Amino acid sequence: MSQSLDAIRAKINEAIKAKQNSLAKVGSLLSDPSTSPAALDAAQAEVDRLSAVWSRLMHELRVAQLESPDRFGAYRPRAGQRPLREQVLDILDELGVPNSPRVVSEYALACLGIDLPVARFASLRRDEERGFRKDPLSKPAWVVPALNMTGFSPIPRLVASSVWPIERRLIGPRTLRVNHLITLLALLKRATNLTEGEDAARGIIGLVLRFARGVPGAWAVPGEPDLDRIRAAAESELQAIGSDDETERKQAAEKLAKYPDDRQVWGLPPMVKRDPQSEYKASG
Amino acid sequence: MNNSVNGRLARLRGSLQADEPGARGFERVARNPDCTRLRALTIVGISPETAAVSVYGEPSREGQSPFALAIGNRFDRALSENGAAQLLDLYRSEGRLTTAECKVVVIPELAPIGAHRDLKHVMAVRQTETQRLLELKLRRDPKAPNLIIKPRVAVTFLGLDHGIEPDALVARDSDDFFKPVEIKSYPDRAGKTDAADIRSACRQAAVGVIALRNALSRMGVRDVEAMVRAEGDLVLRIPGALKPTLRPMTLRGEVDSLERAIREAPSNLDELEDLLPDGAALDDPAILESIPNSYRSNCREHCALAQHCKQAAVVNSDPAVLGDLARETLAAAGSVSRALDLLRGTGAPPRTTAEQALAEQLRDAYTEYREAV
Repeated sequence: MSQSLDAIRAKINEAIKAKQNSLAKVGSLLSDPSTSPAALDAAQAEVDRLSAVWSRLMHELRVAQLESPDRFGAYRPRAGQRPLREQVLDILDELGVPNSPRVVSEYALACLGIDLPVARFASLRRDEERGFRKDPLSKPAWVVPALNMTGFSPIPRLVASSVWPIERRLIGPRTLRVNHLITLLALLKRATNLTEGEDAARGIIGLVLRFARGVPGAWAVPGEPDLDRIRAAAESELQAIGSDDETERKQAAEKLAKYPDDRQVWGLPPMVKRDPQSEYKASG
Repeated sequence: MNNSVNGRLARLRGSLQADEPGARGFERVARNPDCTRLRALTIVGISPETAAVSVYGEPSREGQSPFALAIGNRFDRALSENGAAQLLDLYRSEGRLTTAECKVVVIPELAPIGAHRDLKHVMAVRQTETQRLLELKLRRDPKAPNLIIKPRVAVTFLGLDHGIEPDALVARDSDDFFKPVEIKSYPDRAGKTDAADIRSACRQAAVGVIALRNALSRMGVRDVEAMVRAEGDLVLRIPGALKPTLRPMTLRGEVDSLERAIREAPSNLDELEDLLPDGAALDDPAILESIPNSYRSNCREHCALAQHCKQAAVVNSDPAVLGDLARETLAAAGSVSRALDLLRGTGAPPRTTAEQALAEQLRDAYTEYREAV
């Protein structure tokens, strides 16, 4: 068993080295102004592939450790881990705004090295709603959908925490952009708090670069990505659009606050003006 | 009107359930307006795929390459994820939107399709939400979005509303109304991009123009052409990468041909009923076969019946099987075998002046060919 564990650890070390090399390659490509977008994408794809390899090996290591003679009882893939809902709520608190399951999952893998499968979020949301309807006080916080600022209908593909103030759970026309910038700032904060060279720091830089791609001014100078510059660009855009968005959401939150508690958390059913022609199947 | 049209269409469909034509369905008719069979199927609400499989009992031939599908899906996802950050960046970097013009609504996120949801209800929610956003823009409300991803709007065809989902709509705060955006994962090779791909994308964008005009008409706007010009944006990708490029396009020709097809549909329905025997329906292969078609070499790009029509064209010695140029050149002969007779001087002598001219043209060409080789 120890041989097997050693072999996996050796493979993990190799994977880490390969990932370090591929990250260094991304850095040198970025510093070369003549680099083609295709080459950058290929390098990014290689980083993603090596992240997946690393993640798989970590799973193998955990399984091997669970199977070791000093551990008894039935094997469960998540044995010893905190429940998915708690991990999601923690990550949402770190990000600070509603986010898609994909972003939550990528953040978990990059920063914490834990795998939160996106496919499990739909059932998690249903379980959470069932649990809340049964006894809303049984848990201190719930994983809930963000709500559309107009009509207060739920947006199932954006998850939030029930303990957040209403306006933070609402999505208006500018909010997607504002939340994109806030998420980027949260990623930057996490990246700067980690020790340089740490694996998680390298993982999170990939996420930061992806989120920073569309921020004006973040990439003005070719070369090594400058986190301070990215932060300044994100803060500048946030300053330009954030206050309008916040005002709109606060006004809408006052309206939602007049509804019963469960409506404030889970939203209202979406409005439908009229049924489409019933005799037609499928959609165009 | 609706009920009577609905009843007539249901009778013509026979046992088949109606398919939504979608933007591709309308675009398909405009690609080959001479094909009465395709027009008839679109009018009654039967897709060529359904006709091939359920009427002719042939194997399904429709479907994109899995590689093209995978790259298309990845490209769509890359553009629409994180509040359509990449698409927004594209419009900003092209100077089409300012930093403050960042209002984005992703309609499928408001009403996602899932195993636990009723599809028709989901579509109705998407249509209602889109309608609300269009009304905001018409009122020049400052909350009106600048980008709407996958809105659901209706094209009125034969008095019935058919839902379509353009890839996106875009508008500056100062614009009167939205403009359709068609996203395709075709590599943008500037002048060398496949012209057929561009034409097809433009026609789909033109369906978006018509749907927006229909929406404005329903909201009581009179001069809809001035509010929604025959223009749209094509978003393609940089070859070898998932980065988008932007191409503003004029769609006048495409919009005109689609509007003509939609305008002529009521008389087409009358003609179709006159063409068919009483009580006949298109679910009968003999009836469907009796409706004239117009096979062209590019039919295989868009129609699931292309293979069926090609086989029939081969049996009938139709010059169309030799390509569009041969179809036009040999039109006077009507068939490849008759053209060969005219060339060789066998069979019946030329019956018309057009046949006589074609016979001389073919003989001259054959002489030149012999001299050359």
